[in-house]
Amino acid sequence: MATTTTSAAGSTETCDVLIYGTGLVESIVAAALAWQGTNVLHIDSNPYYGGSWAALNLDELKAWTDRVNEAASNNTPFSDAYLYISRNLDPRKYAIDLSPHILFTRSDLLNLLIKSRVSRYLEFKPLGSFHTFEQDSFEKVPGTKEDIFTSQTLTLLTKRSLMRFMKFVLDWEQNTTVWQEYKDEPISKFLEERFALDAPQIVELVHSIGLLPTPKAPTELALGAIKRYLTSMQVYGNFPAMYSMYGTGGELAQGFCRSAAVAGAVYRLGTKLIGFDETTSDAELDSGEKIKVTEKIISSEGVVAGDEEITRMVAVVEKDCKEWFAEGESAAVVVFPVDTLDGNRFAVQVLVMGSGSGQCPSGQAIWYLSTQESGEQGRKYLYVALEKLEETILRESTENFEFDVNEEEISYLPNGLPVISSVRLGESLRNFTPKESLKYLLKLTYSQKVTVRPIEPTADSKVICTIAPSIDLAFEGIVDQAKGLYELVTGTTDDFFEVDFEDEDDDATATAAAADTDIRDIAEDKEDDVMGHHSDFEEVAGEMTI
Amino acid sequence: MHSVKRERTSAKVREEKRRREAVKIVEYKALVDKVLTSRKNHDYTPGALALTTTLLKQNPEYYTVWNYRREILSSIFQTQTADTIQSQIDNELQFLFARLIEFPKCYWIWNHRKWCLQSSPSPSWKFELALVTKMLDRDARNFHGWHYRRYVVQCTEKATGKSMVRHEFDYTTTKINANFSNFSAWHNRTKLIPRLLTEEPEIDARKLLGNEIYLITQAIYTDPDDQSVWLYHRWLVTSDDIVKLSSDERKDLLEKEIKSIQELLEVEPDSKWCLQSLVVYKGLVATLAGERVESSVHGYLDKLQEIDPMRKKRYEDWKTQF
Repeated sequence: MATTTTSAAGSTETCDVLIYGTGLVESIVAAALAWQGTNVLHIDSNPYYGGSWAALNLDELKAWTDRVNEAASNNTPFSDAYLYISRNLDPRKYAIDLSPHILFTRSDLLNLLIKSRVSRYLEFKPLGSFHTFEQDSFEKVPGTKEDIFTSQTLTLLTKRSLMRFMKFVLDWEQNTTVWQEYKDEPISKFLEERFALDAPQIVELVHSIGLLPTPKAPTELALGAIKRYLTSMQVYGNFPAMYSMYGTGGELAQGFCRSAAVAGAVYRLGTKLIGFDETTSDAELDSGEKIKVTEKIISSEGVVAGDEEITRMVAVVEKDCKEWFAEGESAAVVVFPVDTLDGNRFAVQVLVMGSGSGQCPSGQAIWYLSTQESGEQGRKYLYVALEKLEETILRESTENFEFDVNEEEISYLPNGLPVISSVRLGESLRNFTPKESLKYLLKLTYSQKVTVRPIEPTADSKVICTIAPSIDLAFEGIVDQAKGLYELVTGTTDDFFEVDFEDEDDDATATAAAADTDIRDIAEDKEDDVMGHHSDFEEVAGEMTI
Repeated sequence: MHSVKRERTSAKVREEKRRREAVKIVEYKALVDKVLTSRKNHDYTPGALALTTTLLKQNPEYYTVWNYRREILSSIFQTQTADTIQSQIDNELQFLFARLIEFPKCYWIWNHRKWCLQSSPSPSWKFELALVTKMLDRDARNFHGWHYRRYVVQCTEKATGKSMVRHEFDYTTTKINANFSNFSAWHNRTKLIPRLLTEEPEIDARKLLGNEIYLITQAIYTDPDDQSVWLYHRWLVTSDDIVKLSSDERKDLLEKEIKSIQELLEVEPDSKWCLQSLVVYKGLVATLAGERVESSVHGYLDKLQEIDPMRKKRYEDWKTQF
């Protein structure tokens, strides 16, 4: 996506607010302030948008790796970057996400994207496939009433317990009596004692639905995390989350920057802020220019990055990995729970992006692995997880995979489909030895300082510092942080994105246009099986815009 | 312009909106007057048709205007060839689809669509089936959609001479798996199963009954608060539509189901539907055995009066019957 970069030379000698860094939070604040009428100058030391959230092509990624390793005192939250890139890759065909995040369909950030109309600059794809690694295979997480109803493995009583919990968690905030005494106790204890749930269900609820690093997570925090997934199901279809194409946080940041530019903010990339004089309010740029800042400087650099370090790995593989994706989708989340990788204390989360995400060419996929374990230990677990991923994808993508089954091991579903006892299936899979090996086109490991819980920004001086991306795999607390910063500048959040777009009457036209498309859809697949579902996301996205 | 803050617009925006709406209301009223006057004057020209189009786009609930629209179309069709009528109806169907997307639960739109197909020289039932499938994808519980689907299926069967029972039975399975809280889908199943058994004699009716009970038990345990699943369960265990059971067989079936529901009641002691079903099924068992109803039923009815006070008198009445 191209964003207009207006030259600031000469004309902009004064601004109300100077924002340094085009990370997601900074970009939202820039757009909010610009639409409110504040005169914003937004600069970034990098030649690209997104800061720690950016998605980089391979040339940019090489330069980034060098920069991260150059000096221990570098001002990024990143360190210890090791990069391997195989030869003959077209650098521009890749977008490697430095801090990949998913967007739940019921979240304040999505609401803001729609309200601000920044969603119109972006293309979203659904993410409905969440797996838990259990006994050497990937189990699809039962996240809805329908999954539970149709499950062939859950007993009747487990179905009941799971549903009871899911109903409770939808308004857990009101039902304090149920969880109050477990508030700071591990979520696993609460689920076991209060809802009689068994270990496999607890693991799925905690790790894959809640995306929590450990079942020891305090109950109060965990319930919020679990609810987030469950309320997001069925908002736009049979998936709880989405992501923007060509890069997750970085694209969002760029979208907000574009919106800010439309509202009059001035942009300058590849420009460093090298000094600020509190008494004269003069900001000095590395271009030699001096800018008078009348109100505040918001800076993402020179910040205490975060209190916790996570370890990341990115692997580009020569496999499309479609076995892991839901029909029509191009991404999946796989979680390795605690104690599944030679004694890992924290889960390893994997975001798998296929070529449909626009991040890599077709026939390939990107695996983004991360864990809260730091340093050497963290890298060790990521490599074990990588091995498991490799085994699994080789096994699942082998077409003529056969093994002997006895009649007794097959049971039949009510609709007549045969199913093989899963225990037996698990055994056979363990004995499977892949005939081929997996080709890695790129491997990158690095450490990243992250924020565990969002901190209230404070304005001790004219310079306000923002905080690093959070530890969560999903965007969390972003809008609150942006609002906090906005309030420090304007004194209120009442008019945060109170924008009158003056064309709300266009809605009817949009509906009519959607109906036209539908008619064409039906006309085109007239000959197809009429049972086929027409739940393509384009249609959903169309309904989403307001 | 620098440093001049944009003033807060909310109040101004609201006022502006109100003003725009007021204009719209006046325009709408004028349009209604015009349409009703044309009808009084028996104006059946294309111009009058266009007026109803504009009005129905704004308010599809105005059934008088739909009636007028049919009067106009009927009058126009009288002087036209089959081809022209067909193309006019195709336009009409397209117009109606756009209305349905916007107002999927408006009786008059569905009604008018039926009328169009009945007036059509060569209706495309295949297209209609795809359309109603799409509508039910958007909202699987829209009973207008299910009703229309049965109509389309009936017409398709008549046109092709081929039964669609298996196809439709499988369709309800798909819909139920996607969301079983669906009175319409379960209801359709009760209508389709007897036909399926007649058309496919190789199906073992007892086995099918067993499969259906397995399916509904999964649903009952998943969500015992959902009334639609209990209704289907009631049909399965009490009706002779699937297989005619002897009274001993019926009693065995009821007792087996009573046991399963009692197990559920242990974990869901406050489930109204559980308790109601137990009362009904135990009553039936007693009738079949020619015995008095078990005394436990009174306990269930006491509990029902407590958790469902709105129907207290009804449960009292049940008590007197036992």
